[in-house]
Amino acid sequence: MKITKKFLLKFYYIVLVGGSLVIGFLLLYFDKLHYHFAFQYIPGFFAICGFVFCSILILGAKLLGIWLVRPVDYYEKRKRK
Amino acid sequence: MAEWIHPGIVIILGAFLTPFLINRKVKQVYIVLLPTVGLLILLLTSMGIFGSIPAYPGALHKWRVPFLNYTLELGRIDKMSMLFAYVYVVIGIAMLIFALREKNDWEHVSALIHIGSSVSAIFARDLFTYIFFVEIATWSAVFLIWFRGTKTSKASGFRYFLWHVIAGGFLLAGSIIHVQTTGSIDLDLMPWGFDWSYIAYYFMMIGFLIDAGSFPVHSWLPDAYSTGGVTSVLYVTAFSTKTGIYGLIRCFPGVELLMWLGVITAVFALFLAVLENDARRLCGYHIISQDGYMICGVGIGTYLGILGSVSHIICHIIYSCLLLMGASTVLSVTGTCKFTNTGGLYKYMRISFWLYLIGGFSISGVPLFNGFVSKSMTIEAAELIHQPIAYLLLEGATVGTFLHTAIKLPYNLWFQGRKEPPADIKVKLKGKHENTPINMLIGMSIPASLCIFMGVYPYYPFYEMLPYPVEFVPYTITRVFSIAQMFVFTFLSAWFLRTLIRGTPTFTLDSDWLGRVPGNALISFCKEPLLTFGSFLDKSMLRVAYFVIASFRRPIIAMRMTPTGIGPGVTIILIIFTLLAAFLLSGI
Repeated sequence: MKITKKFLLKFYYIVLVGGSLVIGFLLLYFDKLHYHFAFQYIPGFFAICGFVFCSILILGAKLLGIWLVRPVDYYEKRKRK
Repeated sequence: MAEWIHPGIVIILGAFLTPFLINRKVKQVYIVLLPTVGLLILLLTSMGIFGSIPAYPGALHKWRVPFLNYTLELGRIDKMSMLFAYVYVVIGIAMLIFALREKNDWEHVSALIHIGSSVSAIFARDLFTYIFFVEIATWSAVFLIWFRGTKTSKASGFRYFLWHVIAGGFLLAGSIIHVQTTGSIDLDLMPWGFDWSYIAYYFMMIGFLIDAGSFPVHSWLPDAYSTGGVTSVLYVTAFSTKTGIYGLIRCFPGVELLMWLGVITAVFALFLAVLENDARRLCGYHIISQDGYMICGVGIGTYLGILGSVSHIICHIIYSCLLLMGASTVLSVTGTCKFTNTGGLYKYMRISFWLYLIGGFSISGVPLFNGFVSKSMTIEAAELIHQPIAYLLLEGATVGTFLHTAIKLPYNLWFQGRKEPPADIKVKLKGKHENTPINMLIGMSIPASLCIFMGVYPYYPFYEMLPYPVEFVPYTITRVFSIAQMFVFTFLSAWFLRTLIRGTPTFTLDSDWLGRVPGNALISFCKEPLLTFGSFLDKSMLRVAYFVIASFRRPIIAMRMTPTGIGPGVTIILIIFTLLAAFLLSGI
C-alpha cells in the first residue's frame, strides 16, 4: 500500500483517538483522575461527551434550520412587498 | 500626592484633536499614543503614585463632582475597575494599530470616544455616571457601525441604537426608582427577590442583560457585528457587552436566575452558529455564547464563580478581538467573509491564519491558551456548587465552540479542500504568501501573544490583578486530559459530519424576527385597517352626536334623518335610548 500524506494523517488521528481512550482507562485505573460528579468516572465519559454533544449540535441545528433558514434577502424581499 | 488624571476622559477629549492633525504619519502616531497615555496613567495608578489601592472591595475615590443633591464619582479605583481598564486600553491600542490605514478620521475619533467612554463607565461609582458613559459608548458605536457605508449597515446601526436606548431606558428607570426608595446612587450590590417591591432591580437587570447580549435579547449583536465597518466594528465587539456584564458583576452577583440564563445563552447561540454562512456573524454568536459563561459565573456568585466570570471577560476581550480581526483581514483583503465565497486562501494569508487559530484555540479552551484557564474556573465553580446540569451544558458549549471557531470557521475561510481561492477572489490577491497588511498583522500579534502568555503562565500578572486572591490551579492531569480527550472526539464527530458544517448561501432567523416581521405587521395593521376603522368610528360618533342634538330640538325632523347615514330602524332605537336616558337622568 502506498503511504501518502492523507493516509499518514488518518493513521495519526486513529492513533490519537485510540491513545486518548487507552490513556484515559489507565489514568482511571491508577486513580489519577479526580472529579466532582460520579458520572464523570464512567470510562471514556469525556470522549462520549465530545462526540455526542458535537453530533447533537450539528444535527439539532440542521433540524432547527428547517424552520429558521431563509433566503439571504429575506428581509429585503419582505420590505419590497 | 499627585492628583489623579482620568484615563477615559483623556482619551475622549484627545480624540477630538485627531481631525486637526494634517500630517498622516503624525496622525497615526497620535491615535496610538492617546490610549498609550491612558495605559501610562493606569500603570502610575497601580504603582501607587495617586495613593495606594486597598484590597478589594476597598477602593480609592477620586474625581467627586457635586450634582444636584448627590455627589457623582468618576473615579472608583479598585482592583476590579483597574483590571477592566487595563485590558480595555491594551486591546484598544491593538485595534487602533490594526485599523491604522483607515483614512476616515471620524472613524478614529469614534473609536477613541468608544474606548474612552467604556473606560469611564468602568471607573464610575454611581449609576448616573455609568449610564451617561454607556450612552456615549452607544452613540459612538452606532457611528462605528455606520462607517461601513452600506444600506444594511445603516439599518442595523439603527437597530443597535434602538436596542441600547431601550436598555438605557430600563437602566435609568430602575436607577431612578432605586434612588427614590433608598437614597443611594451607588453602582453596587443590589437587593434581589421575587416581589413587586423589587421592580427597580428587574428593570436594571433587563438593561444590563440587553447590553450584555444575553438570550433572548441578543439579536442586535450578530446583526450589528456582521454589518459594521471592516475595522471599526472591532471596537464595538470588544467593549459594549463586557461593560454590561461588569454592571451585573457589581450589582447582581449570586442571583441564580442569571446562572440558568447564562447556561441557556451559552448553548443556544451555538445552535444558530452552525447554520451561519458569514464569518463575522458566526463570531458574533460565539461572543454571545461566551457572554453566557460570564453571566453564569455571576449567577453562581461564589468567589470562584465571580473570578471565573471576571477572568473570562478579560480573556474573552483579548481572543474575541483576535477572532474578529482574523475574519476582518479576510474581509479587507478579499471583500467577503461568507463561507460560500471563500476557501483556498491559506496559500495567500498564512500568518493571519495562524494568528487567527491562536484566537480559535483560546476561545475553545485548549490547554496552553488563556481561554482554558478562565473557562475552567467557571466550569469548576459550577461543579463545586453541585449543579450537574449547568456543568454538562457548559461542557457542551465548550465542544460547540471548538467545533465552530477551531474547525468550521478556519476550514471554511482558508481551506474547504481547495488549494486556490475562487477566481473572483484570486484576482484581488497578490501572488505572495501574505496579503494581509503589516499593521493588521502587528495588531493581531498583540492579542495573540497575550493569549499564549496568559495561557502558559497565568500566575503573574493575570492572577495578581484579579479582585480576589486566586488558589485555582488550571493545569491538573484531570482537567488537561479530560478536555484533550473531549476535543479529539469532537473533531472525530465533526469529520464524520463534515458535509453538514459547510456554509450554505442562506440567512438564519433570530429572535429579532419577532420585532421585524410580526412587529412590522402590527405597525401596518395600525397604519391601515385600524386607522380606517378609527376614522369611521369618529365620523359615526359625530353623526350620532348631531342626531342627539337634533332629536332634542326637533324630534320629528330627526326621525327623517336617514341621509345622515343612520337607517330609520337605528334612528328609532337611538331616539328610544335617548329618551330613556333623559327620563332616567331627570329621575336622578
